[in-house]
Amino acid sequence: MEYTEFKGNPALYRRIAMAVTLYVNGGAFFAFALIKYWLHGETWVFGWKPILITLLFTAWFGRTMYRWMMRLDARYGRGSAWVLESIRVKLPELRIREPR
Amino acid sequence: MMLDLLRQLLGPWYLQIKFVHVLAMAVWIASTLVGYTYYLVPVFKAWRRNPQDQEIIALRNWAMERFDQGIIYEHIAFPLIIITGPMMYIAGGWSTATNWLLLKIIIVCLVAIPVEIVDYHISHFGGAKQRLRAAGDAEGYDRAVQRHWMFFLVTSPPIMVFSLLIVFLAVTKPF
Repeated sequence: MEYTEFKGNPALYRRIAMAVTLYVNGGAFFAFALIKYWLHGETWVFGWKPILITLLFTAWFGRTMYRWMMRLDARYGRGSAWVLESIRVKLPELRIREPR
Repeated sequence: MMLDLLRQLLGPWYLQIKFVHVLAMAVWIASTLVGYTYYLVPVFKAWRRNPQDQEIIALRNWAMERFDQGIIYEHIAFPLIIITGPMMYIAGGWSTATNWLLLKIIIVCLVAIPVEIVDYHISHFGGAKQRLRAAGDAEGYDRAVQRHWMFFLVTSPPIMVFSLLIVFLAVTKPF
């Protein structure tokens, strides 16, 4: 049969990494800040230290996520640490249970 | 009123609930680690470098189905975490005034719960590879394997980073 080509590519991974980074880090910061402000009247979250830590973590996470995806999808390296040798094996498959 | 009643009922069992919570957390984080790192990822990387190689595709599909089966432990542990977490919150008299706990809860809601909902679907329900193979849907099967690989690509970094952060927050209670 014809296999469909996998749609992953570096441009898509860059967009996904940016979107996930903004969603998780931005979402976590705003949810935390709003709960602290509305429920407890605390404003320290809006100070420069929490914002700077969040921004630095966000930048680190975004870069790490993109590089992680690229490495995981074999976009970095040549795979030369692995040997691909054709051998004949039997793969055990689970027998699918018939409904009673 | 209701919360007070629950607190009285659960309070004496706080450490036992915590035991189940911590054990389930360990299973959630670590149960698939070896299978994923040393079996699934090398095979998928080989497939990505040789996308038309039928022998690699056969092994990729086999490893994927075994992983769908092996992830059952993780998917039993996760509901236990989600149930025992709020139980501890009530029994221990915790509140959102505790900063590390609030951040931990937000991360669970933003990352862990959405990822696991998709994971349940693609591993056991609509995207279960074994069912698609049994139905003879070869194209659907290949699409499901590729979708699962895309899921791994997108979720591996946030899950690894934020699950460690969750444990770090719970253990060190830094703020």
